[in-house]
Amino acid sequence: MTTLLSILVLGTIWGAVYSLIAVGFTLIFGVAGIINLSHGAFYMLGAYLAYTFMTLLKINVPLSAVMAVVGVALIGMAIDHFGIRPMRERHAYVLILTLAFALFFQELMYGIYGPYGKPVQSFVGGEIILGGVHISYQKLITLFVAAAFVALLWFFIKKTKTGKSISAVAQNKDAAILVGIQYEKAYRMTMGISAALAAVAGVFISPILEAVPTMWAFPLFKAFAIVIIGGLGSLEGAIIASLLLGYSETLVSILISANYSDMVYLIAIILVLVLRPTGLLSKGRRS
Amino acid sequence: MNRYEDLFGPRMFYRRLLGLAIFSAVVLLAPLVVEDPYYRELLFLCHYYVILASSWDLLSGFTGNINFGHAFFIGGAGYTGAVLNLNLGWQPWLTLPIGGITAALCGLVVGTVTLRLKGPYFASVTFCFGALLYKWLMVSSKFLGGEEGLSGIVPLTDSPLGNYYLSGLFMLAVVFILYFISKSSFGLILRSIGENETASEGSGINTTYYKVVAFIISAAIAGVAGAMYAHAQMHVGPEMAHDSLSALILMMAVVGGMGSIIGPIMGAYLLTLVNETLRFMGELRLLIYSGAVVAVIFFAPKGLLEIFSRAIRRLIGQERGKVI
Repeated sequence: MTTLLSILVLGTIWGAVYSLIAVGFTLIFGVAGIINLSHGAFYMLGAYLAYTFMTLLKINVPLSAVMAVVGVALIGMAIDHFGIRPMRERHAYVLILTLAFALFFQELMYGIYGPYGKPVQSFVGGEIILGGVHISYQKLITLFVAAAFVALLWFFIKKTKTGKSISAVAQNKDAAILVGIQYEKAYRMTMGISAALAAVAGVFISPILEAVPTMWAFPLFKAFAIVIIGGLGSLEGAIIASLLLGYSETLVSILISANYSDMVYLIAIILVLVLRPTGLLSKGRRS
Repeated sequence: MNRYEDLFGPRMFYRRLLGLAIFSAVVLLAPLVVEDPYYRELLFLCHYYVILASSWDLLSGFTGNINFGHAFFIGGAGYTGAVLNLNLGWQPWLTLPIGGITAALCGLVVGTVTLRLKGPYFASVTFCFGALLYKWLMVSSKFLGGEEGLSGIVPLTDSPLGNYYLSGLFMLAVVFILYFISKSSFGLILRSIGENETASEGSGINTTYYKVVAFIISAAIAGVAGAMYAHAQMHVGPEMAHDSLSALILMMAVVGGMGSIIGPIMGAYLLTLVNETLRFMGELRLLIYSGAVVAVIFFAPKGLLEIFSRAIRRLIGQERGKVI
């Protein structure tokens, strides 16, 4: 019973964190049609900026969280404006350029902070015991923040004017231009939002996992897996696939071994791409 | 001179063949000048990376399908060679071809199921194969040594000079094979897939078939190189299948210039040598290195080859609005 409950609880928490990373990734993929391989680096930068502001500069928690997220969003917008914009149409180069940026940030963090993990203190101490399962308040906060930001993004995209203009560009760029939407602005804003969401995940996960220079790679490819499983550019699909991934990973790591938990999503990507390339939830659109 | 003639005309054909012949002569005669075993080892490493980058280029550079899991074949073949050598005592002359054949078979299987996918989907699924092998090598500690890998493999040859010549000859063979492939109708079809895959399909070309064949050749070459590296290092570890190796190969081909034979050669030599000369910088080495790669991709998206050929043409006064 305790095992089942802990799979459920931990699976939900990890699923929420994954969905925070994956919605940004699927957003920029769906809107601008680019695979942003620096997305994982935004997550890593979020964690490192949180470490810098909170542990090194001793700024209070809310302010440093906001500064970290805004900082990463600005970095993301700068990469989009100066790096991606001149050759947005060429997928191979965008792929390689963003990968090169990710490696560059990794080495930058390695150069500044060294190869070892940097511990960030929890935002709030203590834990709650729920039916025999210990959950720290930090994880609980992470869960609620993730849910809140995903809901906020949903509201932004569906209800506000700027959000609607972004989804207009995603649906049909030419038609969006005809009705007077500045598509470059929409791309830049999407990049900023998606970078900010990844940074939020990084900031809140840093007390749980520590900040290390190589922490960007596996979340990135988990986000990739989630987007592929959920269907390209679909927010609903990304959220459902994130929870699926969270539960299945927790299941495997509790029942078999944590060593095999990464294999789950790798096999899932291969199977989905080979058997159903349009994703589990999409309506048969392939591009 | 139009583009077709530029690629397939006899004049360019012989001129480039002459260039490759000079390159071969330099490679074969270099040990006369380079006597320090350290530099011979370094050049061996260059040969290894040239083989990997140009084999990667055959599929990814020509057809534009980015392969993110080249290390899958390198690591797979390296481990195959190591296991055969350690358990059955097979010598390098046998394990190298078997490594290549194993990689080719993997290429056939992986290529058949994945090459219907395009662009980022293909890139991600090849990444997954590489990452899956890496994870598996890390956890399978009983037979494959886990994180430590396998040691005590028979060396490739007795001396750094032998390693140099074996790898050098293999590299030259690969470069010439790829050169002739690029000039054949097969190479033309691969390029046409790279230009516009839908149009190629429309002209009645079974693009998946050609991509799979290119993938198999590319995998086979990478496999032989992986087994060769395993013997030369007398050790294999999971890092041979790690995605950072795949990324490094990709960077080399891109920095030099994708889709050309000379580009990946140039990129592989350049990045290997720069990486080594920056060693005195200590911790900053990889930062400078990756920053330089970002700068090259940013300022010269078609690679250094384009910049060099433009500079040379300007020097000899041939710059008159030519398209290449």
